[in-house]
Amino acid sequence: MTQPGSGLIFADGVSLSFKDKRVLHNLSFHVEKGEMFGFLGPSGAGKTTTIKLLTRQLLKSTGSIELFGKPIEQIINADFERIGILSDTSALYDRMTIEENLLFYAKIRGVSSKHISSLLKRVKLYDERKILLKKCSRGMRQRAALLAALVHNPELVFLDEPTGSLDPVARGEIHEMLMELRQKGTTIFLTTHDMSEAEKLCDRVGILNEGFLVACGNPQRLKLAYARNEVRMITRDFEIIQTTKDAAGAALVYEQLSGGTCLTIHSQEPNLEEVFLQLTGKEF
Amino acid sequence: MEASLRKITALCSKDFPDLFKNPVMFLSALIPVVMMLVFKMLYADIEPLPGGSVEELRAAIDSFLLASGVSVTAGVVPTMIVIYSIAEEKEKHTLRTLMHANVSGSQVLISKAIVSMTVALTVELVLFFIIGVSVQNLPLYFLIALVGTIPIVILSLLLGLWARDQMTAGLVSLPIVVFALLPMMATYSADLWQFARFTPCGGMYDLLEQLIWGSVLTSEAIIPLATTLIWIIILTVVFLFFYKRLSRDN
Repeated sequence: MTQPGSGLIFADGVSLSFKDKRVLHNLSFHVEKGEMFGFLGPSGAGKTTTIKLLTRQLLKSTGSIELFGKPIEQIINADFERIGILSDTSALYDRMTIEENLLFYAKIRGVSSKHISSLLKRVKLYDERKILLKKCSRGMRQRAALLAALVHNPELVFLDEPTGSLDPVARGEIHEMLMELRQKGTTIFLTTHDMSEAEKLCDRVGILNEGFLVACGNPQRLKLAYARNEVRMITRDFEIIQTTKDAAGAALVYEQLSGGTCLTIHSQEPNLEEVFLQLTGKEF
Repeated sequence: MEASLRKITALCSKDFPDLFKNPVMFLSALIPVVMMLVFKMLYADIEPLPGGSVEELRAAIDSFLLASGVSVTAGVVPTMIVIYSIAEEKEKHTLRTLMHANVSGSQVLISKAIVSMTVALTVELVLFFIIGVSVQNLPLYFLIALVGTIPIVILSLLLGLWARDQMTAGLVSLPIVVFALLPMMATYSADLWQFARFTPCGGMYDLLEQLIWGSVLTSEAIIPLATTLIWIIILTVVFLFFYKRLSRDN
């Protein structure tokens, strides 16, 4: 479904050029309400630029973008109040505590501050709420910045590399929070260069390479679409047998199964990194 | 409108307490006060020259201190508060986060202008009482200080937009401080005064001297008043011209 008015975000033939250099080429995709959509690609692929276009920080050169069913040119301030943005450089105030920062953003958004305690508890920052931000770890800062972007309970959230350079524990906590948000029905547009993160979290992904959207769809389906023509068996002697998905392979599999020597049998599916490699011919 | 006011109020309520946490801003408000206390002590025991009256000497000292104190305040306080804080917000990416929270550039600038004007006027009020001028001059003094500080605030907003980081902020704020202090330095040179009286703070300096000498409500006040108003108009036009471009680029 990629027609105007479909989904919360709709982009059709969007391109962007800086002077003579084209950085985004004819992007077309849509994001449904309540969906977590991942935009994947290596550094410099155009992920952040796409978020900037979708949030009107940059103006597209050609094509059309719709948000909430309206052309982006007609989006007004009240619509922006329905959006939360966490960029890769989002930062809060160093000389204020975590709680003061969130109270400030609640004031800016004109929402009650009553739910801030529960937000802080949700990301395990409640006990640290009185700590000045400058004394916080990178993970704590990132979680606090995420809360600031969510303090007004937005319908649509843009997250640019929300877990970039975080340790696995902090990354896991952010993942948990994002999954909770999705369960609540928040639409999430996420950029990441971490393929496993996208596989774990996203309902659908778009793979971006040098400004081109090279694939778009459900991660499982993408992997199946680019599945290898291989079956792998491990025998009771721990011998690994690889064979093809054809008549000859079937005969070999039957032989092992009927002989009772087969311990496990797997269809060899690629992960998203391998899909990217197949699509672009490049290592991710 | 209501949302805009709410955001400006929230920004001001963040920036006011920050003045006490940020040593640069706190010192900028303290400098004119300390300077006037030192001047006050230096001139405490000065005697009139033979043939001169104590009243004339008192008026000469008061007019110098008052005009110099307000010039230093206007030159240092808005410069430090506006330019440094905008540059700091850019450097630490907090400005971008604000923009993502649907806060406009103009709302940020208005809040910075309100905070710097409030602090400058508070310091100028403190100076008035330190110098010990008759309280009946207070309303006019306040009005002149208010109008005279506006050109520097506009200039600071413009340079704040232009400065990409705190290091650049330091560089661009220096000329403003020098310009603001020029009328005070011109006390010792009639030639320099011919130039200094037409600088952004020159008109205000002249008006404050006239306030003490009692000529501020005469035709003598027309040129310095016009100088100040023309600077406000010129800088507003320049600001509006560059605002869109600088706020987009920086």
